[in-house]
Amino acid sequence: MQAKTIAFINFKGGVGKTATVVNIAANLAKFQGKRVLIVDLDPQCNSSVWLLQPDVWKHHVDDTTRSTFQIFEDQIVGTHRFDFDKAVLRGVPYGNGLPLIAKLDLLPASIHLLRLEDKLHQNRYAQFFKFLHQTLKPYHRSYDYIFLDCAPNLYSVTKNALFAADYCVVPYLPDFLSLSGFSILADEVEEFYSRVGGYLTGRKRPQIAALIVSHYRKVGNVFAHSINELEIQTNALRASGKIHAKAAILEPYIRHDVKVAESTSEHLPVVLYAPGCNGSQDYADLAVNFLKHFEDTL
Amino acid sequence: MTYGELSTRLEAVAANLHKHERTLEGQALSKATTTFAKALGSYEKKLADFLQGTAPGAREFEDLIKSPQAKKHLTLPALKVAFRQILGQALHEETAAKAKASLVKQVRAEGDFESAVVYLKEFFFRAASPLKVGEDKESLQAEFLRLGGLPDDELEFQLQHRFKTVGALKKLAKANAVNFTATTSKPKLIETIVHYARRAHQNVGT
Repeated sequence: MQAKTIAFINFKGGVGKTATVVNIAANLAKFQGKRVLIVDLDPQCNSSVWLLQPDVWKHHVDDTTRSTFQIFEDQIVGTHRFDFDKAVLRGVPYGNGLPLIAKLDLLPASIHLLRLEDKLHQNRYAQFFKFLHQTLKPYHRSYDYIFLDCAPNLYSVTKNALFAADYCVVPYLPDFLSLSGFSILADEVEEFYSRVGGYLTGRKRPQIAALIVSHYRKVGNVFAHSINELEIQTNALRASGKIHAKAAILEPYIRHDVKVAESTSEHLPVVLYAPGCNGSQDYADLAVNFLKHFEDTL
Repeated sequence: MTYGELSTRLEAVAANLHKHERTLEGQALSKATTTFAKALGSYEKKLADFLQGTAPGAREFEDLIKSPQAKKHLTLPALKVAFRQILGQALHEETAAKAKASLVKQVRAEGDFESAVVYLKEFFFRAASPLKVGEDKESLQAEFLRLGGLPDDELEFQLQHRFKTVGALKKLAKANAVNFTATTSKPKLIETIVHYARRAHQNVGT
């Protein structure tokens, strides 16, 4: 079976992209038996340092050929130094160096990704958006899901993620700033796909297929109103064809939970750090609904 | 260190012990050997426990029963339903903790982990997005009738999970001509709803 490749995108920062990627991936791998690969494409390396102790991460990516940076560097300078099997960290996170979730793998990022944008711009004549897809293609049969954790922008590396994806998921914070950004994001994504659609060769044109709400609080009606406005906007975007016809705001909304923030310092998905907390329970239910959405509904 | 590296080291240690068995001696080595054998014994037990869990579905069952979803959704009424569905028996425990322990013990004893996994996965799938009942009178009447036809433990579970608030129960009651006052308690409201829902199911049928 071919992996479903899903890009988690939003050009707004702090909306819970990495938390969504790490915790849904951990739940799918641990409790649903899915083989999941997280590809960290953010120069901030957040999913890498969430799932790895800093010294382990640093030691691994000190050799930049073992990071996602090398995927792009190879294409730009014409080398073949990226070796998937050496770069991939299997069974992350680790306890005393041993795997804690056997079916969860990570391709870590390094901060060198920061230097790539200029170089990619100098290579505009090339089909720069294909690099990631070409690299990951041979591994599509090794996984059920490949999650692309993107930086909060729509620059060249993120465009590689969009091209490599089968679907896009938008992590979302229930406030007006996110709402106003969402329709712009949908326009930008759609515009990108209309430009590169001809290169998809046999693949369905990807679209935004789901939204995931984080940091939800039941304080008065403030967040409920924001969600209502998001639903109205989602309906309009669905009707206009700018997002997938079956795009949905997946439930439950992830409640604000300090344990989720704490779990980053422990370098564990919250499901391993505090299985009984609200955040863990929300992510566990969300992972199940995520599966339903991507395997049955779409 | 990986498990592969550990197995290589153990093989090397085993080969050395075997080769030099008749010449090994001394207090320091004796003490270290005793400590190592003790640690090895405990490691062997942990490894055996893990490998025992590789019977079809066993590891998955152990993971699911300790998952955040189990903590959230496997309440006492839910466990009663699960017990009957998985094991075909009634559960008589009075607390969720005892009920869960009893379920785990029975499933392990019967060894049919795969059926338990199938049931739990389906249950968690449903629990993750509870069926939403429409707010209109007709939907609430249909729901009332459906509830009336459920077995006791399933009905208790559904009322607890899908009608958590007194407000939700009152909407259901109002749409089905079940009287209540502002001071009617939740247990009393449930009791009355159950009575009339059972009656409706009997009288109207499915």
